Amino acid sequence: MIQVSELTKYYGETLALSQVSFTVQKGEIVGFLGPNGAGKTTTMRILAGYLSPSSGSAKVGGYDVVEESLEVRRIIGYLPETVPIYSEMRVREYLTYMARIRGVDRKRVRSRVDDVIERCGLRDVADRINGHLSKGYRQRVGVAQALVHEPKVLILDEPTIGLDPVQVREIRQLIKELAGDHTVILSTHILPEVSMTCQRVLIIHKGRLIAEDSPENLSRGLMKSQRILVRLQKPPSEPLSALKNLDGVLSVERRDDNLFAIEAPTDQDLRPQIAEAVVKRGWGLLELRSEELTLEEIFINLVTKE
Amino acid sequence: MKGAVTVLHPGRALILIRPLWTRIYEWLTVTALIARREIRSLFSSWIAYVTLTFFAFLIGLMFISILQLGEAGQMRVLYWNTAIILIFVLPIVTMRLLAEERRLGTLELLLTSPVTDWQVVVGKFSAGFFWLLTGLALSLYVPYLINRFSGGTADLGPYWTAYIGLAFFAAPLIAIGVFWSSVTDNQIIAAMGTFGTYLLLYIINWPTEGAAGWAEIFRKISLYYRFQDFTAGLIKFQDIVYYLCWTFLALYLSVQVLASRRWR
Repeated sequence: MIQVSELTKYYGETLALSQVSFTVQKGEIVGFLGPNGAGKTTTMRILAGYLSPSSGSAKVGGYDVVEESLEVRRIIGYLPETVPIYSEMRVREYLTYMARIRGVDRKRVRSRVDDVIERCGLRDVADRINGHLSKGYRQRVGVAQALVHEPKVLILDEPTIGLDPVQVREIRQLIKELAGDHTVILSTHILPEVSMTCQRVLIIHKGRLIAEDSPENLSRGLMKSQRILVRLQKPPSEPLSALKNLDGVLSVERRDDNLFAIEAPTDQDLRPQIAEAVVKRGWGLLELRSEELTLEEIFINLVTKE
Repeated sequence: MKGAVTVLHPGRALILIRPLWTRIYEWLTVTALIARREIRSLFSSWIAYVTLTFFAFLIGLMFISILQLGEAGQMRVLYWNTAIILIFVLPIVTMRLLAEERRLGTLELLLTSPVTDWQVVVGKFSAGFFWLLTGLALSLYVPYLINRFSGGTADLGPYWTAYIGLAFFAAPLIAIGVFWSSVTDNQIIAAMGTFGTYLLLYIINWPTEGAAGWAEIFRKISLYYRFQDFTAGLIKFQDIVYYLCWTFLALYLSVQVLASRRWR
């Protein structure tokens, strides 16, 4: 559905994107991950036909984003980073306007607007003025306008930024429901967001694509070893050697009074053995979990690897 | 070869087959949508009302003073001055047209919708023109009262040509306003640029007053100079073409500015 090849963009002298290539299949949800200024917004703006690349090409639904910009814009729904709404309009009025601008048939406008109002949970505010809405509702109005013309491809730039946790969950749920019928490409700088909603992640840093995989593979592949955290109720004065002696344990580190971090190879799960050892010695097992790599760590890993 | 491939593209082929008038109708529908939204936005803020009040008040003041001087026959002076008032008022109306969209970020939305840059620019221009028509409509009491008090003997011809003239005179002004509004997201700068351009085009013939030869060119460039004939009941084809050329040029440049975002 989306083919991007060797996309490069300069802003004057500054290189914003360098030779970025990727493809997105129909019905897929792909996450764009990277720190601010990495080139996420630039890529999305090019896909939406707002900017032209300096070199390279991008196709959406088979149409070239430069040569056939209007055709591309007909099949995409785009939510820019700053939710663009006319503050003096009412929600329903605004969605109706966006639907008509996007070429929804006059007879279908009403039912389409009603549908997105329902789906994005805007029923209570449909007759309110945009300027009076809370941040969460504004964001939902932004998603609603991107959906109103039933686009084949949805491009969402930071769709959950500035929302409270409940709203974040609702938006994520909504995005998940869209998969299948729609192809979704969204950007974020929050890792859990990607692992919860996306089937595939593209990590972008300083304008270059540095990794592309499923969220699970990404965090697994990047970890040379896994870390298991154990919290003990009655830690012995010298527990380290006992844990270290377990088969497969690479090292043990004391994080604080009763929290220990155990390094183990990624290919075997040592948690049953650790639990057994702790229970047998009567140290009182309070907690046992494997530690996930955070985006920060993945990032540092990827960047330092270069 | 490349052209042939493009024509064979399913989307393109469909567009080519569709009759011309449907395409024109669709083009106008979307343009009208943009214009209508802008008009509603203009009239939901104070700007439209303040500028219209100001405009109508000044015309009323001039009307009364001309009557007091007993010069009802010289009503064309009123329309000369109306044109000058427009030079001051129009920048305030046009400054927001595109600059506001840019500031809100809605321009990004508009330009990623299946809408051409020309539709955006013409839509904005039409909204400005709607303001003008409203303003002119508010001054229609002038010919009405003249007709009434002259007992129907007054020749209203020059009045109507003056209104036609004002519309043609203001069209390039509004287009210049659209251009400046497309350049910046700062509305003050847009208004200043617009006003500066108006003044330049207004006074460009002053140093040439009475001179002949090459100075004639400057007089012909002046937008205001040509307007005076309209108030005398003269509608000249070349004047209309001249005003339309200026309008087109300014709108064309605005489209180029919008399109240039892609390459910056």
